[in-house]
Amino acid sequence: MRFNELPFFVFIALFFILYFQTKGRVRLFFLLLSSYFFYGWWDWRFLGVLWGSTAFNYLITKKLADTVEEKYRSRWLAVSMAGNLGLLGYFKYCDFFISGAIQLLHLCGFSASINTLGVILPIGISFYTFMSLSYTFDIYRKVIEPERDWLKFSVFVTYFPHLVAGPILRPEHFLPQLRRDIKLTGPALLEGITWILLGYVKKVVIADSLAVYVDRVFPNTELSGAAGLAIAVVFYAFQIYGDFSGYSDIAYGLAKIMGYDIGRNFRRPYLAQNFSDFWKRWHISLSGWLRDYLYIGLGGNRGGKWKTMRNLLFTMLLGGLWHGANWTFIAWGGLHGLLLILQRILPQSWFKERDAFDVRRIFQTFIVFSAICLGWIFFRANSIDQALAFIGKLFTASWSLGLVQHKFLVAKGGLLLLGLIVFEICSERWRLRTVLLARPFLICPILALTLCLVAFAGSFDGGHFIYFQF
Amino acid sequence: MKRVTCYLILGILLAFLQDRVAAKLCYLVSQQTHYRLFEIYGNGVAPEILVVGNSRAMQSVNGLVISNQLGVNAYNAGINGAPPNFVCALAKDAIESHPSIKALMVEASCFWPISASVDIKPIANQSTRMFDILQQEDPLAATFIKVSHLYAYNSEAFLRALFFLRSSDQDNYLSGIINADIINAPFVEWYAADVPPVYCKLLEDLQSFADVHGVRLILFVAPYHISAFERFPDFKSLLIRIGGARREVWDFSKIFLEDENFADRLHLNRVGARRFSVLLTEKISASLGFQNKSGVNASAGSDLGSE
Repeated sequence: MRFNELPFFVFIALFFILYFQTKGRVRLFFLLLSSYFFYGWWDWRFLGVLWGSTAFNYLITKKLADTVEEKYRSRWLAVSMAGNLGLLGYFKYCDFFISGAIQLLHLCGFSASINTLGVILPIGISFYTFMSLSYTFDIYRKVIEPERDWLKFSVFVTYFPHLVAGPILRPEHFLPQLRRDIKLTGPALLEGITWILLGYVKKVVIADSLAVYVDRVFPNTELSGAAGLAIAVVFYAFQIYGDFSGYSDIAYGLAKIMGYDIGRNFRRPYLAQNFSDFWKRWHISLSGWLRDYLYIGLGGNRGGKWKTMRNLLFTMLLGGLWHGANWTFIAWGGLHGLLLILQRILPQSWFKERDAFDVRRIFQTFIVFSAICLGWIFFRANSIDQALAFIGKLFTASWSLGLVQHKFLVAKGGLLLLGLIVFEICSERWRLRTVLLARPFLICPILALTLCLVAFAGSFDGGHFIYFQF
Repeated sequence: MKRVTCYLILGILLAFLQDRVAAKLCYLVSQQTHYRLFEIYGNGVAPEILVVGNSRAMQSVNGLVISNQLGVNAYNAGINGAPPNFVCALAKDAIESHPSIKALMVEASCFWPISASVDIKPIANQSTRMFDILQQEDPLAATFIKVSHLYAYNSEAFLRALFFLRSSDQDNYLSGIINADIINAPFVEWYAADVPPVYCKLLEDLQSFADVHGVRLILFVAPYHISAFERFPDFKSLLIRIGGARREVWDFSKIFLEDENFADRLHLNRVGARRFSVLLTEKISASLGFQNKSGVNASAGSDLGSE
């Protein structure tokens, strides 16, 4: 079920009515059932995969926690990793590696006629698998105690607001919240609704409007000049931001109303002043996961300059591969790895975080944003060749504005972006939550303005969320 | 809790108020624009010759050339991607609201069976015919424009219209010239051999409507690039079918052989549109009794298509 389709609105209305009629374990059980219903709406056959993954991790982690001897603990950890990564590998990377092997055999002069399996990717599998992995790692490291209650553990894995596109919940943050009883309060409702509205504006108004232009330009690069392509890349940068952070905001708002805090996944990433700052603001739950369980696991910055750079590159390459089985994602991850390395090599003063009113901050932010946009070309392209052709044309074709197509879409997108940028700059300075809780009556104009904006500029064709495919 | 609930209810009421005010503003803007869709539904034009159809009509006929040569107001209301039900509804609405119309020129290719659509939300509240089409094709949108008047203006058509607040959209033609890449590109969609009966019925209704209002209906086929004929399994039978027993079809499909007149296989460019409009003017002048005031003779006039 998608947050922007009609059945979801019916589902969520009924859910909240019943949710606040229940208490304690009944409420948790209702939450679990609702999560399975939410997930099964897309394809009920994959409920088995979700249930199997939950059961597997529950049993293995219990064994892991009950085992004292280090040798056997390591074995249980290996079993858990093999199970989780095997599941992810089969559904997400199987066809990628088969076609890669066929290509390699062709290069070596052998003819191979192996068919790819055409495996359907269950939505959200990358998210709940990474959550389960972090839970196992934390138990192995004895950072947390295992959750012995099957119901609470199941809710932790399947909790529907974050289930299909994150954020990737941390057990030490979320599990304690399941152990207390929650009542609906005015401030929680106010805050939740505000985040939900903001999320819908980002998705339905901004991302989906920009997508119309992006989807017309990217497959037909030969029809556009360099200016048109540059606009398409900038639009795509904000489309993917609006799309994913919109989803995360809606999830955050829903969880707030239910009484849970699942953490923010984005903090105005395009206002980042350097590349590591960007990763502290973009897809925070994934970058935190990669940092804590992969980068630090590899040794982090403890092994000297070269090892740090190797670890950075490896982490970002795997971060790219996490997004999908395609060389374009690996190239995207690699580029971000190189940018992080560059930041370590170049003088630190170039990347210093500056005061809001420092003119150099604008220049710095612009450079960082431009480099990130370059990465988005790989992310959006269907193949490396297409991405390189796009970049080539960007630097060789005419920059005449006369060659820009669909000017009315550019005008609409430009106005929406201007609004979003002003909002982002303001919210960098003033915290939305603080402002709203001090002046709750502001929800009236915010609600009215949002509804009108959605009616006037929203797209209602039920567009997919980009991160569902990951 | 109670206070927050009150604020939410107030917010929704405020949204309704804002919606109505903003929709009224958008309506006033739409009345000021010279975009053809809104001009037909406003009072901006009083054409004697009205051209309707899809992008081929839009890109082929230069209304200004016809107006200058005949001294009557010719208006091109061709719209990109217009399907036949939309074209017929637009023509009927125009005939009803502009008694000045004496001749209705319908570019026939909108009746070829091909999927097409036009965003009609902004005019759906001004025409029952358009509203019926919207209700058939997108019932949810039809319902929603009753709830939110502003939603009617959530359309590409309205955005396009904003570009024509100060200038006419009648001089908006393609500028490129067809090349080998365009000629050799595969067609995305192939035309079937026949015109669906439902389209013939639409045309019959339009003919009867025009007859009742004393308007002469002419079907014409604008020029195609020679390579476009690969697209039609049987072009002649399409013309026979569309013409029926009592309609004239002016077939100009093969009058231009030179690439310089075409932007692509289906559309003339600016130069081609001007040349074609001169030829069309001569034909109108000869057949419909409008006096040619410019005295311009088209050299390619002898090559006119058969009726």
